[in-house]
Amino acid sequence: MRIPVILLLICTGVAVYLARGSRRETNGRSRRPKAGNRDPGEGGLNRVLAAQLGRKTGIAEHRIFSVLEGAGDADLRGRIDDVLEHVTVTFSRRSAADTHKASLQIAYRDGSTVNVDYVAPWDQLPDEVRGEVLRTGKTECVRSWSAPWHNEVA
Amino acid sequence: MYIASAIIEFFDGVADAAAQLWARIVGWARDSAYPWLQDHLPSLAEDFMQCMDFLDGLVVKSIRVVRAAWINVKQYLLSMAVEIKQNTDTEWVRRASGYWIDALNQNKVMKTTETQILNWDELPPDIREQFLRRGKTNFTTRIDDELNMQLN
Repeated sequence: MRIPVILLLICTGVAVYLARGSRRETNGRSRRPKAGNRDPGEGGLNRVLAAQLGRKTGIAEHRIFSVLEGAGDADLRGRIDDVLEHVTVTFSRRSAADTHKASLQIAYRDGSTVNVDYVAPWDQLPDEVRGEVLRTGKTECVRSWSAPWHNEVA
Repeated sequence: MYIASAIIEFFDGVADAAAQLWARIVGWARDSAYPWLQDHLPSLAEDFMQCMDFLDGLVVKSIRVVRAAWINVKQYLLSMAVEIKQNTDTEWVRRASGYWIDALNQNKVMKTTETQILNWDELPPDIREQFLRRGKTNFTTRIDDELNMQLN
């Protein structure tokens, strides 16, 4: 039997052992961050969104980015909620090197929409997206983005 | 003082190399290993990808820790340049100059300079190659610019 196949079988054996152990520990728990905890993999998405919201509202981009990353500016949060209706993000695989294109469809409350794309390497994708891709084999994942303050635990 | 720039270069190399290598491993798992297992050992295919999912969580978390550490360093590092130049036929000199915000007095800027003598086999491979191919004997790298490009 060829060596690579033997190595693959050994690795698979180790993988089965580890996977069954982790499955017992996680009991099928998804990678969704706990309410109130931000996903570091959303940094790239927040940066792009902050740029667009900055153009829309005239507010400095770095202030919007801070709020999207969790800073507690209630006034700024309210102003973002006043203009932003909905954000849909589609993550699609680009190449075997596992970079992904993130396509944002931003809908504002005044009826206008903006489409923006950016490229994210694998380690800079949100945790939940990477988990879904690995568990399901999908090459495209669609997410509805929600502001972190909407997920905060009271 | 040499440790400071060595640590920064270490963070630089480790975070970027780990991220690229792990992305390739994930691609191999998705494109080669999983299809092969589906065809030949279907009972193990799902477990294999569950394992990849588990490992991915650990690996990416580690990469992000290193990147976050660099962001903390950047708060105090204003700029750092590393110059490597040939001193004699057999000896090279590496000089790292950095400007840092003093953590205890943020109105003050400190300059650090580290000098190290290098043998030929201690030179980075790309520098050895450029010397052999083009005869280049003086190299300057700005560490913070390179890291910003790689980590952003």
